[in-house]
Amino acid sequence: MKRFAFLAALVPLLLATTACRKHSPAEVVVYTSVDQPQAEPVLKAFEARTGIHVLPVYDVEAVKTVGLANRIIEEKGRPKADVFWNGEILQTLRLDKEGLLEAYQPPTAAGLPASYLPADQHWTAIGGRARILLVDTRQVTPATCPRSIADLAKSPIPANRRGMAMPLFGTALTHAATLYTLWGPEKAHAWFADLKQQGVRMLEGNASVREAVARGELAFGILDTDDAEEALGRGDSVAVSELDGDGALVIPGSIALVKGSPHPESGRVLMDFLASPEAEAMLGKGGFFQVTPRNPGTCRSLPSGHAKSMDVDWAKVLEVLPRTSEELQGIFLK
Amino acid sequence: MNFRRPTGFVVGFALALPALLPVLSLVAWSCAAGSFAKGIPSLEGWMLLARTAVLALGTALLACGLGIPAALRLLAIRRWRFPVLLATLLIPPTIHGLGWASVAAQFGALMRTVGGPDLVFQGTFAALWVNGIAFAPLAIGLSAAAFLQVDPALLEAARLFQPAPRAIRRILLGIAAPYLTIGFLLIFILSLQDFTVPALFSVPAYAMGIFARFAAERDPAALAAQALPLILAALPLFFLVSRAWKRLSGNQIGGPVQPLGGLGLGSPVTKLFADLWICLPALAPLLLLGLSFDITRWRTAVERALPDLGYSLELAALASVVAVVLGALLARQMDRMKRALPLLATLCLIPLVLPSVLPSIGVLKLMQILPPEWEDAGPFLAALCRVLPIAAFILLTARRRRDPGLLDAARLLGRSPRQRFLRIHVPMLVPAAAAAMVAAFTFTMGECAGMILVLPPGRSTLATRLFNLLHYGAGPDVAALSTLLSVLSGAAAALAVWAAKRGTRWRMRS
Repeated sequence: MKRFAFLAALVPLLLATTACRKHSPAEVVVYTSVDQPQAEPVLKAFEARTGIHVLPVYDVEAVKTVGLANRIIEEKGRPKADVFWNGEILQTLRLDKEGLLEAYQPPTAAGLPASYLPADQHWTAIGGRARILLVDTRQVTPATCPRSIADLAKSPIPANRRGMAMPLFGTALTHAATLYTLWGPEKAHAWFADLKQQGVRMLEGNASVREAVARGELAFGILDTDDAEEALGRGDSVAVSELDGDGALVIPGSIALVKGSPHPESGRVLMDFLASPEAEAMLGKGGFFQVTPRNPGTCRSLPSGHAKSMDVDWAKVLEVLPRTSEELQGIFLK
Repeated sequence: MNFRRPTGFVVGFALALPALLPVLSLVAWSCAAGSFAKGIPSLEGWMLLARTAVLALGTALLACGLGIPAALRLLAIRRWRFPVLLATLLIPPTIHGLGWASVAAQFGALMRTVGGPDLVFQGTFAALWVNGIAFAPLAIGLSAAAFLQVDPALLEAARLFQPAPRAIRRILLGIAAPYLTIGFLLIFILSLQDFTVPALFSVPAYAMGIFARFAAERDPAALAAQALPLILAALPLFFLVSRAWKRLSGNQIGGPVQPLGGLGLGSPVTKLFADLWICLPALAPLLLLGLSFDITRWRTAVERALPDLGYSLELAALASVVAVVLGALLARQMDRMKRALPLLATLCLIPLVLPSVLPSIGVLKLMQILPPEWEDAGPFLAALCRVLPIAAFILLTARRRRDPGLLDAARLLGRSPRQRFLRIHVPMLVPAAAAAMVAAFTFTMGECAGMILVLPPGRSTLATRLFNLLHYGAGPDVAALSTLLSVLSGAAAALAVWAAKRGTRWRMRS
């Protein structure tokens, strides 16, 4: 019996070794879906500037989670996060819809476009990425070069040499939901069904699209500007196609203060830093954002003309998101 | 009902509670909110599940079918190579996928240059191949652990009367079958849950739908309803494991156990094939490492990852130690059960089969009840709920293989329960405990999606960092962390071999 008593005592003892941790007095908790390699230098710079210790939790795009937005919703009775720093906008709007965000507009956000600053001040958009077409310059000629997102469905290039990320996750899903609002659900559904029927390749993620274009497996594909930057930076034989028509979908990043957060003052200081032109420039230089309103860019993936963005009502996009996901699962997961 | 002596099932259920609590929490929450009906799969959903299950079955067959001869070969060669060859155990299947896609692209480009056909490495075959290779180290490791439990004297005796292949099939595989079945089941479950590799090769997988629902809406009941069929898919295989337990309980195998050595595999072609299968899992990661070797970036990547490494090791060590200790108690209780065993074992299977995000949601709900100071217990509970069943199943198999004659002899010699526990029970369980610990350690180190929901602020694991880096392709940073993982899995395998050998010596002395 003694041995069981010993074993029973062992479990709480082992638990206690990890369960007790000191928190420093000046700290801020940030939940972020910005990639860890991009977010870390920005947060380190904030720590060095203010002396406030940052406790981040990172989301992971590669395993398709939007875990942190869901986590904030689950934690609403006892919030842990002070700031939600989102690489895109939809999940921030979702939290706003759930009534989980506190009104605060950082003074450093001055100079941002009006669409980046909502009247209720529940969130602030910062920078952004765009959905663009990356082409393999060895395969695509001026005659076959795609000029619009819609060219994914009609092109002289064989269907198995065109591709995009499976539109069930991340920015590809946001893009699909945007098309649902812009074109109407029926037309958008038919367009995706057509892609499937033609055999257009649906890849695991935007990074896979980038690698497939760079290797020459795809002649062109739709992806985010940050993915394109990586290939262009490596000197691969790729180029960004000039888009006409609706223009590119620009997905802004966003920051928001969580309602009832444990360190609201530190949270506001962090919000001020993240909304500053300095942080915007760091994220632009690091390659996460290519749309940097206060730091006119020299980035390779958004040459002149690409900054023209689709006219999007994000509230409507959020509304059609579940339907879009449901319908696209019906098309692509069978 | 006798309240003084709780039934075996109640005690077993109490011991399995750390594994079941997150699932119970998820179920309770699902009943309170959301709609189960929304998540029930359509006919197309069931068809997709069937195809995913066939792919998982193929993966397990490929990994184990070739892993068994590879394990035999591994045991016949020098022992120090064992941990080295298992070093790819912790490398995520996605990295294998990227490596093989890169190999195939180079080959395709070469074919195009010489005017050959346009080869595209896509589809079910590609996913099957990559998953089979990614899970091969696990299959080889578990098979080798199973064979280490077999008394070589039995095999030698059989070889006096039968040709070697028949002796291996009838004696070695016969005795090791329960362990091999558990290895097969584990690989099947892992493959059933994984959608990253199928997605990489444009193959739809059932688990992808669960993640898609998680991404688009928050409806716990619908998520749970959509995940339940995964349990149904795993049940037929689990039935085989239960049968093996039943068979063992009526026919225990005893004798002093010592490592096998110099085992013949037959023809040189078979040996060559086994050697190839041992080396193949290292091929694609090695290629990626070679292509992106940059010492400065490697050093920076490792330096940045050191806090994550420390936390991951702490978490994995804690989860695996507690899983083995609790698993031993749970296995002891299960061993005493008769009719209630299948029910308790099936309950324990649930957290293992569900995609890790779901038990983590349950843990997240539990953390809302616990005091805020316990926030660091979240990742531990999320890891434990998945690794406790693995440890319990492996240790239950080991218990069922015990020789009751030894215990009777010790009792007749007047040994105390403490002496019997230390001299007979523990030494007999050490190799199985070592295998369980390596499996639990590997599972915890590799977990990513579920961890994001429960990691305390300021903490991240090596797996979350690695997957974050994968967004930028398999560059030097990914290569550096993969090498780090390889060193870790090699060290874990070396530790397990050392523990198994020590256990064997201890048992021989006892």
